[in-house]
Amino acid sequence: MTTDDASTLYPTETDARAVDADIRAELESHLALCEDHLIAEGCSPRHARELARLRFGDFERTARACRRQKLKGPLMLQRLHLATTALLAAVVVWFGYRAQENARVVAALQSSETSSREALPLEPVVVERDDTIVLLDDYNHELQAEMSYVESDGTVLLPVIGRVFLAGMTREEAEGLLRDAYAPHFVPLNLHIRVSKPQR
Amino acid sequence: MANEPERIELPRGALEMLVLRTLSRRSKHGYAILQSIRERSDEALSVEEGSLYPALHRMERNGWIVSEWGLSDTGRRAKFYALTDDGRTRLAYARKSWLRMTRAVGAVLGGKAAEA
Repeated sequence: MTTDDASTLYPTETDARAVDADIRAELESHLALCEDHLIAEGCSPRHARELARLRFGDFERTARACRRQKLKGPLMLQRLHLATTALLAAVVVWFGYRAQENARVVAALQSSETSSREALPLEPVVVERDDTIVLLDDYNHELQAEMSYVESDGTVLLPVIGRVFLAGMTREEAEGLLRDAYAPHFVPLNLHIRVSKPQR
Repeated sequence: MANEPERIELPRGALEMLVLRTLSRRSKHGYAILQSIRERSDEALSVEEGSLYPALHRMERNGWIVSEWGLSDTGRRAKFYALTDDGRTRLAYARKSWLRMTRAVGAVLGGKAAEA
């Protein structure tokens, strides 16, 4: 029976035990042959056995060395396989983590873009009829959150300063006009306006 | 010269070459390989069992020899080793390298050897 078994690509516990048994049988056979030789030369069986063991040296150490040689290739391959699998698993986990991170960043960017669009429109907001003008001034409670509608004649009726024509102005222009109008009445003044379009 | 050891310690790689040469004519078991090397070298070369068997397994793994269980001349069950084609190629290469090296070393030592 040939002991070189190509099927032991990845030695199992059973394979390793079979290899161990084969090695021990071979080394025991060597001792027996040596004893036979010594007996043939005139040694007593007991002396031959002792002398054979003595000449052989460390039986277990030799068996271990043989086992290492026998299983070196398959074990190296097995270790390489395990290391590659672990590396691939780590790469997969890493890519998974990166994909999650990327998805999170994209979601955040999209959310940011949406809110930016709301806050900073590409085209300037122009005040029109039926728009709602909301005054925002955290310094002056009289003005804060005051709401007025742009009427059909393009004017809005505002507290303190009365009716003001705003239709056709951009939000910034209207804001500037109202700041000028309110400046004599409120010091300090921190006026901003919000222009809300009616729901179509 | 009297202080030199009787047994010669084999240089690295020489054991494989000796084993391949020993198996070049017919298959042998480990004990017979040891005996053959010992006898052919007039007892000058003594290979230890602790070196021989791991070397045999290494050479078998390399594909230079193959093993098969059989019966010895005394009827003992033993594992016999035989040379493969790869083993023959390896032996030819190792023998050539060895001879070239020993000739070169001999040429360097020649003068001093002659003086001694």
